Order: sequence, then C-alpha cells, then structure tokens
Amino acid sequence: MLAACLVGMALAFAGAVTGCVDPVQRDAKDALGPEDPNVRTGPLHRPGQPCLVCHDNFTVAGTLYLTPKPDAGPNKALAYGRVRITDATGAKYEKVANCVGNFYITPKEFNPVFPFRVDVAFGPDPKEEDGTLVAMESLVHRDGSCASCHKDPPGPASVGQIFLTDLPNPPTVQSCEGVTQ
Amino acid sequence: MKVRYLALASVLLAFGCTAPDPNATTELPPPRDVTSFRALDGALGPSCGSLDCHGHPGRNLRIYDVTGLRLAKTDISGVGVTTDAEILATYRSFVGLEPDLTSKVLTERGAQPERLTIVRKARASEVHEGAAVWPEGSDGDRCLTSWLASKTDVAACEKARALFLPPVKQ
Repeated sequence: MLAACLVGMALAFAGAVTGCVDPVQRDAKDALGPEDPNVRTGPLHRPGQPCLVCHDNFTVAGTLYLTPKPDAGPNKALAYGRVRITDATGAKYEKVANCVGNFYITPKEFNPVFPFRVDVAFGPDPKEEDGTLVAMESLVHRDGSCASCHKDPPGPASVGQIFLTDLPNPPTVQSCEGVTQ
Repeated sequence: MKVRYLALASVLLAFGCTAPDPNATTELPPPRDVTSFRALDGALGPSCGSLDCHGHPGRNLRIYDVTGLRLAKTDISGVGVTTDAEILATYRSFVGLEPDLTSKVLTERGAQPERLTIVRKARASEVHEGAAVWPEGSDGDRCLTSWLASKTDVAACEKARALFLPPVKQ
C-alpha cells in the first residue's frame, strides 16, 4: 500500500514538473543561446536580447545603442543614455541605462499603463537636431521587452536595434572600462 | 439489422471522405474592391498593427503596415510606405476572421456591427489584451462601423490614424 502510494506521488510530481514547462517560453529561452563566458550574469549581460523572456519581473527593459549597427562587428552601446516613458495615463518615468546600454524597470519603480510612448535622450540638453534625442514613432502596446521588436538585423518584423542617431558626428559616450562586473 | 448498419456506415463513409473542391471559391458581397478598404486600413495600421500586437505573425488578425509587419521579405519595418499588396493582405486577414458574418453585416449595411468580434474587441466589450483601442463612438469606431455600412467616414479614419502617430513636432 505504501509502495503504491509512493509511486503515485512520484508520478504526480513528475507530471507536475513536466506539465509546468511552457514550450513557447522554453523555445524562446533556448533561442537566446548561452551566456557570454566573459560576462558575469547580471545587469551587464546579454545586451540586445529580449529581457522579459526570462526577467518577467521587469515592466520595461532593453538595450540602447549609439548609432545604427555597422555591417560588420558589434554595435557601440549608448552608455548612460536615458529612456523616457510616457504612459497612457500621462505618467512619466525616466531610467538611465548602464555602461553596456542595458536598462530595466521593475514594477515597484514604474508600472506603465499600455500603450506608452518612449524616447531616448543623452546629455543635459537633448535635442533632435544635434542627435541627442530620438522619439519612437509608434507606441508600445503590450510588450515591455524592447528587443522583441528591436532586434538585429532589421527586416519585415523588426525595425532593428534602438539607436540614438545616424548623424556623422554622434556624441562621445563612455565605455565600460573600469566598471566592476 | 446488420445490413442497415452497413448501409448507414457506407453512406457516412462516402460523405465523410468527400473533400471540398480545392479550387472552389466563395464570393463575398461588396466591398470586394480593396480600394474601399484603404481609409480603414490607414487607421488599423498605427492603432492595432504594431509589431507587439497585430503586427506579430502569430496573431490571427494580422495587420501589415509600414509601421509594423511588412509583407515582402525584402521590406523593413518602419521604412517606406504601406504597399497595395499589404493593404490587400490586411483586408483578407480582416474578412477572413469571420467571413460569413462579415459578409452578412456588409450585406445588411453595417447593422449591428457588434456581431463582429473585431468590433467588440476594439471596443473592449469583449476581452482584449489591447483594451479599448477604439471605444464605441470614437473616431476609430466610427471609421470601422462606417466602412461596414459601406459609407466610410474618411475623416474619422484620418483622426483615428493621427491619434497613434508620433506627436507633431513643435
């Protein structure tokens, strides 16, 4: 009797474990690939990837770049760029990205009501004319993971990475040199 | 008794195995001309067709627009203009949601538009992740329901479109 009970419990546990795996989310996580062995898991990891696939405790998160991605090689991060959000109720929130351009917002900080507008600013007096301010043209309707739509390369279902300016002389930005990972 | 069952089984088998004619088409009542859809399409794109909503290839209502999902593999989201092929693809997606019912509403000059899921979803009188994008009586709602009534309120469509475009630069 006890053995049968134990077998039953084991089967129930196995069923619960396998039954709780969301295959869509699992595939989305698998598609992100492995961690960069040179970067510790944390705020600086996986720039350019859709953060909310794993971090479903964020409301909005993404990566900012200085210019459009070059044809070859990695893109330069917009270190310490500012993401400015205005939600459907008119509430505003600003978050500064870190040195790899990553930023993330938790519900405790700001839980925007969809749809919301976003712009990216850099420096003390941002202006579109001098390439230090850019506004997203469409609204964010439901996905707080910027890279779900802003992925590389640009194509029919992606506008490409988020960048500040395509002017020939972009502002000078800092790097991650000296930042403890 | 056995013979009757066999006969019944044969009849069911015969009908059950009849595949529909792959070349058969069903004509919907007007507006068949896609140009009549252009004004509504212009409002649907920015309002509903962002890449994270109905510009996502996984949605059953799939909207193609320059501001979202592009139809041609060579086109890039956000670059260029919405093409005629994209308007036609959105139109097909729209009427393909509930073809019989859409046809009926169109034939009845847009009477009781809330029979259509798309109207209820846009008004959020039925659960909609995007909430009430076009509440009843709003410009978007008037654009949609007037198109269903075959007398498109182009001005309302324009206003609905403008609401979701970038703010005018000062």
